[in-house]
Amino acid sequence: MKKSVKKFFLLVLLCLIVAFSSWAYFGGIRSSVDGTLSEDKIVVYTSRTDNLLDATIPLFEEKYGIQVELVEDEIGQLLSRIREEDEAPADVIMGGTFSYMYSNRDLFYEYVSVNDKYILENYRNTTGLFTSYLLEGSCLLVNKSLAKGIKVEGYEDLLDERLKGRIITANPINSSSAYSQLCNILLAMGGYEDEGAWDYLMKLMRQVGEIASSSEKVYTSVASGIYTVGLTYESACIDLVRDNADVEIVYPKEGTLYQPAIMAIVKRSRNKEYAKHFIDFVTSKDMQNIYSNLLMKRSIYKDVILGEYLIPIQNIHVLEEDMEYVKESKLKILSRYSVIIDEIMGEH
Amino acid sequence: MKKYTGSFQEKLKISVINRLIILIGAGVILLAVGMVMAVLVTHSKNARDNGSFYEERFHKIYRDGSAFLRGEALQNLCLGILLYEKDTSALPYLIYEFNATSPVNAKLVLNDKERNILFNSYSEQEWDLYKNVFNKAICANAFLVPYDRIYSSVYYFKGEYSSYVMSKPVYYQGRTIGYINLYFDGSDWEQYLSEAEYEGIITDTRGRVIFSSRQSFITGINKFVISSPNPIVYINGRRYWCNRRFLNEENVIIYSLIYYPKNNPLIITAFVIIAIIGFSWYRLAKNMMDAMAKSNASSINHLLSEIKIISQGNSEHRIRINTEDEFSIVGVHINQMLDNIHELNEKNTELLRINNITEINHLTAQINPHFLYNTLEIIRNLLVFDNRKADNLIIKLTQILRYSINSSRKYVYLEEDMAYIRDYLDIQKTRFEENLHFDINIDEECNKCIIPKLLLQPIICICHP
Repeated sequence: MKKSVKKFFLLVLLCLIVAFSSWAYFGGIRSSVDGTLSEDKIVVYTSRTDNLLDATIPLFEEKYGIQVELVEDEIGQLLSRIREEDEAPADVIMGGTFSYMYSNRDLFYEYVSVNDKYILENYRNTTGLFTSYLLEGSCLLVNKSLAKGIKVEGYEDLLDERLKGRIITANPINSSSAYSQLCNILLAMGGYEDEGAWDYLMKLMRQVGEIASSSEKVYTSVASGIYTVGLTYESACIDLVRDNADVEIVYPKEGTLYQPAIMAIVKRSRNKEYAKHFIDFVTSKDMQNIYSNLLMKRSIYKDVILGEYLIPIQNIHVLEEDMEYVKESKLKILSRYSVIIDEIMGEH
Repeated sequence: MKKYTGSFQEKLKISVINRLIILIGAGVILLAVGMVMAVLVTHSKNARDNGSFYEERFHKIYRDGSAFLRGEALQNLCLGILLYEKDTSALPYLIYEFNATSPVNAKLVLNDKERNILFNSYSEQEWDLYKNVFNKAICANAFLVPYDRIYSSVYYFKGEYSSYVMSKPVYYQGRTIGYINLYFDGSDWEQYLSEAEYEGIITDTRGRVIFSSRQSFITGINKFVISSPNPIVYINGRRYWCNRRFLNEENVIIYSLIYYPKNNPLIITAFVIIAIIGFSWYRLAKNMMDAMAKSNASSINHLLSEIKIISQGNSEHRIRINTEDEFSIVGVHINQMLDNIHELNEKNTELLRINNITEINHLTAQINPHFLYNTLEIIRNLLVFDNRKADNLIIKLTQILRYSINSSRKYVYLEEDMAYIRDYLDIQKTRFEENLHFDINIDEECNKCIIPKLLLQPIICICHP
């Protein structure tokens, strides 16, 4: 009898301990969240490293009540993930050059934005897949103090003796902006197949003091006074001007090539309607005004509210891209570029 | 001898040790559970209290903002402005008045039904295209809320503090004609919530951060989401105890976080301490138990050795034991018993001694020493004068002695006793010759009567002088 009483007490004690611990453990979530987080969601894969999406996503989420999840990586990585992972949840992909995206066109879903008609004619969606949302132009960045007394208005001026070894550029093989610059040079100096253009490139590369491994090094080197002229891209330069760096942006008088930054809906997307909203939202007039006015990006719209440091595109000699050629010929251009570099290296 | 005490001690030990192990096991488990519980309960309570602090503070702001937005003064003024009956000059005063009492400063934006701005307490530098588009989106969402409800949202632009936005549509004749948007400036939250003892994060239901006590909690573009209902959460690899609560009206989730590191050294130390305590308890109890068993066993050993002395023949020995326990009582009882036995023995010996004396007296009574002496004297004389008579006398004396000494029979036939008496009288006749005359006249039939042996002998002795 006495033993069973003892057992009973032990059992009661055990029960008390268990009850107490569970109270302590689960008491913390008793008042747990009833309001569930919105299930409406899209996943955006992007290679952008700037503040464009910071200014886009909170607004998009407020307007549509759709959550946006960002996956940031190199464009090559993102594309291979979409290609390889069956369950890759990507809905929209943003960033990457046209030629690179075009070579993976089987991954994308056809959609033409409702805003396509407002976009500058050259950059409209002709493939049915790729929507332009910004223009990224090449330019020359000049250190004002170092370039004193040297006239730098275009590519021809870069062959000045005084600039020998004072010019920095990036490697077009691993930098998309440097590749754009290369296209810009060839197109401005005669065309992709023009011998004169390639001759000029040879001369220019002899002037170049350094081929940087990253595009970032080009404009920072000029801003910090290591090099006099940098062959680089517009939006990075505008940020430097805005930060009062001792630099000046030069749009070459021979012409500036604007490449569209493009986005597309992934073919396997499970939220195509939401993805369409996203495409339309980024290309909307409101957002284009914000990009141009606030972020100093080059809009795909003609009449937008320009930011303080942006020169109207009408005042720039804009070259027309040979889209059909560029689509297929990246490798051809890059291999000829490599031959030139090898030749120059051999001279040394 | 030793073997028996050993087994007693072992039995004692085994009977105690089982209980001991259970007791100490239970004690150690209770201690360990108690320690863990203490930590859990402390964290749980702290997290709850901290959560309540944030909730209370946030709720106050919401209540104030809600009262301001629904207040008659603001509603009437805004209605007047929207109907183009009044101008906006009185609005800044109302906002100033509100901000004077509110710990978190608010900016007010009044929009018409087309979402054009009629009044804006943001300065021109503060108001940009982004805010404008955001403000329009808020109005569009506020339009959809049920009648007379407040829509709340979170405004954010990278590099700025986020703002909690409360939007109240203005109704006229049942239709929405405008929106009053109140932006609570995020920079003031820090000061207002600085008294919190622990970390806290306030987000809306979409995970947009309104306030975070640590910048590093925020992920992505001003987001913070914990979907797991577990109270233990990991943020940036750090472990926290999380209490979360959902404020339905405010549309806000409050996370109260208490840093709860996986403190392995602490856990190890605690368990080592518990193990040491358990072990020392065990040692202590075991020592006590051994001592008890030993003292009990020694009492018994002592008792046994005392008894051994007695059993070896020393019956005078008494047990000396002063352990002042039950064993000394046992000793006392044994002593009493020995005393009793001794007393009985003495009595028996005394009785035997009395018995012996009685028997000797009896013999003495049977054979008068004078008779024996006289008879032997006669025999000595006769040996000189008459050998034949002496021989006869010796035979008769021998018969008398044999008969009287033989004590195997207490009752005899009368003729046997009479043979003895005849012998006796014959000896006396030899001594006294003519001075002694006797006649024996007994009926034949009486010879076979059974009488006590030597019954008649005293009478004969008394008869002759």
